Amino acid sequence: MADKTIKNPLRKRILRDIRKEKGKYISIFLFLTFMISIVSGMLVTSLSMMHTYDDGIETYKLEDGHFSTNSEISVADLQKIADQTDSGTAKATIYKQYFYNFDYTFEGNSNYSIRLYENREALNTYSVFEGHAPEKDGELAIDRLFAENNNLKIGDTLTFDGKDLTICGTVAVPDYSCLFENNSDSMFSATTFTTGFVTADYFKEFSESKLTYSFAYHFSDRSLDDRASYDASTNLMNTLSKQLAPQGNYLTDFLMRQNNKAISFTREDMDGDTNSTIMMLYIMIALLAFIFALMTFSTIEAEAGAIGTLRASGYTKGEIIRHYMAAPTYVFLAAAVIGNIGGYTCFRKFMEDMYYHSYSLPVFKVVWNANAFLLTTVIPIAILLVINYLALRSMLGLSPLNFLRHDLSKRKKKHVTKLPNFKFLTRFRIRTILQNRSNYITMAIGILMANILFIFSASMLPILNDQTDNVLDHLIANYQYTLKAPVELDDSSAEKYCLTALADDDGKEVLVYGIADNSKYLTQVSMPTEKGDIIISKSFMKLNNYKVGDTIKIVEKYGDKEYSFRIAGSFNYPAAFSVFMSIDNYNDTFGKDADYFTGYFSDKALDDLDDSFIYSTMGPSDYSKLSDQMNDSMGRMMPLMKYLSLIIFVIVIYLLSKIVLEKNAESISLTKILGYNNREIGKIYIISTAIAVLVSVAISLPLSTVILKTMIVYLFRTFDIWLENVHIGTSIYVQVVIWDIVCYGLLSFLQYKKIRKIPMEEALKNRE
Amino acid sequence: MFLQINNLEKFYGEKDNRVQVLKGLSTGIEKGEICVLLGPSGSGKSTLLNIIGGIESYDKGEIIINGAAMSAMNEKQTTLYRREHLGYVFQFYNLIPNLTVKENIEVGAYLGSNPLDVDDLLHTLGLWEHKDKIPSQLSGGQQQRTSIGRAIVKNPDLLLCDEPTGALDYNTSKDILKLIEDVNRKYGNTIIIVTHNDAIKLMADRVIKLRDGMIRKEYTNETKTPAMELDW
Repeated sequence: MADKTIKNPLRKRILRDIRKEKGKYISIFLFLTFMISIVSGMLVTSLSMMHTYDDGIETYKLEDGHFSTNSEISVADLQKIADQTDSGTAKATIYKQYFYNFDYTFEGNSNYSIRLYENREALNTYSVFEGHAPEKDGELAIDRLFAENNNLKIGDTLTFDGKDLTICGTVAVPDYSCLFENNSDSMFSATTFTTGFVTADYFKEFSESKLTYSFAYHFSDRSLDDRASYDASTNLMNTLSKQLAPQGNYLTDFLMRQNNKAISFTREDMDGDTNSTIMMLYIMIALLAFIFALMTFSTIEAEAGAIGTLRASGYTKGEIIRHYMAAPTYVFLAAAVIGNIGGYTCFRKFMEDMYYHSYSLPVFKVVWNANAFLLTTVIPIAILLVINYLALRSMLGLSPLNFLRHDLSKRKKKHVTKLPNFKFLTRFRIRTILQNRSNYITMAIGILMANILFIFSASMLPILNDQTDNVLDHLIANYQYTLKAPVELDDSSAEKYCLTALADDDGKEVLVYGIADNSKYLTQVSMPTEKGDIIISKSFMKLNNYKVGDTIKIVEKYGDKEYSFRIAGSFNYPAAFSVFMSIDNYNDTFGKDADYFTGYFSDKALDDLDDSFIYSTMGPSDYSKLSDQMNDSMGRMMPLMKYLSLIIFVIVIYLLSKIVLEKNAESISLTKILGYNNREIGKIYIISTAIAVLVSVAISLPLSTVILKTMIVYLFRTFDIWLENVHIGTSIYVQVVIWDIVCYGLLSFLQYKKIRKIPMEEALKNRE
Repeated sequence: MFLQINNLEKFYGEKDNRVQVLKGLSTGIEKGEICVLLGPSGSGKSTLLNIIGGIESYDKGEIIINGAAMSAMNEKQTTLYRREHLGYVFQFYNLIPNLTVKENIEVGAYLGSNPLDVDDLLHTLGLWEHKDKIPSQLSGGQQQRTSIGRAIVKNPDLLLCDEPTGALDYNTSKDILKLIEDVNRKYGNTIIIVTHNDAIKLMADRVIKLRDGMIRKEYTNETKTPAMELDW
């Protein structure tokens, strides 16, 4: 008798199985490695950046919020008001943070603007990438990303407000990690907008007309969570509103950190990117787990006799399941290890470049992240194991006798599907498709995913451009000037209007317009005369499912006043969620004088209007910020997604068509013995798979469209945009079909090669 | 008795399609005996073997092996019983295609708490020179030897052989039967052979002839004929 020192000998065949099926395993391995590399690279980068970002709240002493006043008020006076605020332990310290807004022309383009601050030392301090902070008059530090986007170097000069300033450094500013010029903007613009910093002395030398009296606050209690900080900010805002009013002062802006897109967008976007990428990874892993299970099913069918013998000899179901799960698990583990290495090396750099190309982030340090490892490795392997285990448990739950008799059908009664009297070859193909339906269903799911990804990557930027065109086509006027105070103009083409920003129940910004009677600009609808009746933009109507006749409530953003209006009609104005009323009703509703107005509509630039009276100007280029920025930010990601979709398509079809051929190897061999040639056999099996592919592609197109339209509408809502029509161009569908046909065409050569290789002896061996 | 079978009944199908394949069989087999189950196709011999092997259930009666009643065993215990006490040989060798001869035998050795020495066994089986070959490089006889090696390496109390020579030619069949005989002599296992080859009954200690689910005849051989002297 020998000592019992034998390890399970079945282990020895795991590597041999992988070698035997190397085509399948290598393709899955490469795909998984690629996927895990991307996701791990993205996660490591974004989690490291988020870590740096979170640390930056204290490191750079990020504000808890800021506000602006209509006139100059001393910090001491504001501090006194703040100290009266009942905010529990959250005592706010007020900091002066005045800024100038300058528009300027750069390289012939007049759409540039800079927000100029004096150097910061106490709050919202910045990190210097290159050069140094301004030390003397005429020196200017600007945003690193803006400099990069405009190819500006240290020593270059920017001219605004009649002064030439020399760039001395590029910086990342914590309260502008995302370069939103205005919080109401749908998208940031890191190409045309930058923050700038000059010395405190030099700051005083700019035109006061462009000065905004802005203040930032910082709570002393650093243990406040987001909710508590938000509540404390609300208390501060209410106290300031009340206490400033008696002196005729008021807040022109109040923005708490949680609502400030320039601060929160970066983190939310990284969070969103991370979540959607992880979700995509998990869906892909689930699909691959099914493919692995189908591969194993086909191996089990081939090895049924041996499995029956092993089970009859006393091998437990668990031992057999573990054995058949081993190869996919090892391949997956190898892909996870190499994928993570790839993620930390190659793809991290790619993702880092991508994030740095979108956001003004401070220098970050890559930290090994257990969470990234958990999300990219532990959870995917758990998904793989669970799906494989459940699938195999069901199949290997059959009795040893079933295996010995090669009777692996779960259903006791085998139904033979009756087919119409088609030609023999057609019936043969239909039978092949029916026999392999689980493979073809999995293939259809894979094709659907690949096509969703392809259509998304190809259609996203055109949809953005369509939306911009839609906005531009439906502008009330080419230019909207907002004034600091009413100023009369001689130009008769300009038309007065009133505007204020309120919010709906969900806190979403709503622009409220007062329109002149018989407006030259807004001609699609006439304003209702009844007080309290309004016309609303279709986008706002759709967003909240409003109907004509509904009464809606709109509230002050920085106060506690509420207004109720009845919807009298709507029209297409996609630029912003807006409501419109006559200018008389507007002034009456908001308690303004009858001749009050806040700005001008004009189809041409109003050169007569003195810059010092203009608070802001919205021209056509301002409406294309979203598409410009998204084109810039997503431009790198979209081709990657397109390649990924094609890889998914090829791998799914390659693996599943291979399984179908292997499963039918004996039948193919037998048909060869009967005298069929390879071409005839190809006509049966390759065309069966081709039919399945074509049907899957045909089904996937409308299904992808429905799924994508829902996804894209949801995505745009996060940018405060309601998409009226998501139009996916016919050319994109044509591209999908062509790519799918080309890929399948190439794969059918591999299938034909495989058919040719199946020997006639295949039918003769293992005959039992 | 090492193996006791009492009033064993087995049905297939349900309702109108219900067919009785074993009709109240009772018999017993002593430890160390070679028992040959003979009968035409459909007589119930393979069903009986599978029930003894615990891979098929029965409807009435009882089987007691070495004092343990099979009816009292649940699925786990049945697997354990097979693992510890049974070796199986089938007409088709069911070897694992990408394991070598030695590794295929180790697949059986892994299950036993006190397995035989694999190298010794390879010599006994006449497979030493072929130990590193994979099944597709072997003849049918060599493959069946390997499957016998896999079944006996864990030194089972009971070796069940279902048509072990059914796929082999005359000479190879005799070689295999001699091997079974040698194994029985050397290791003392109880062996049940299912066959429809009437000549094999001569090498058995006990012969049970089945027809239509019933024992038609059962007897012990006073003198056994060595396997190599069998003729058919």
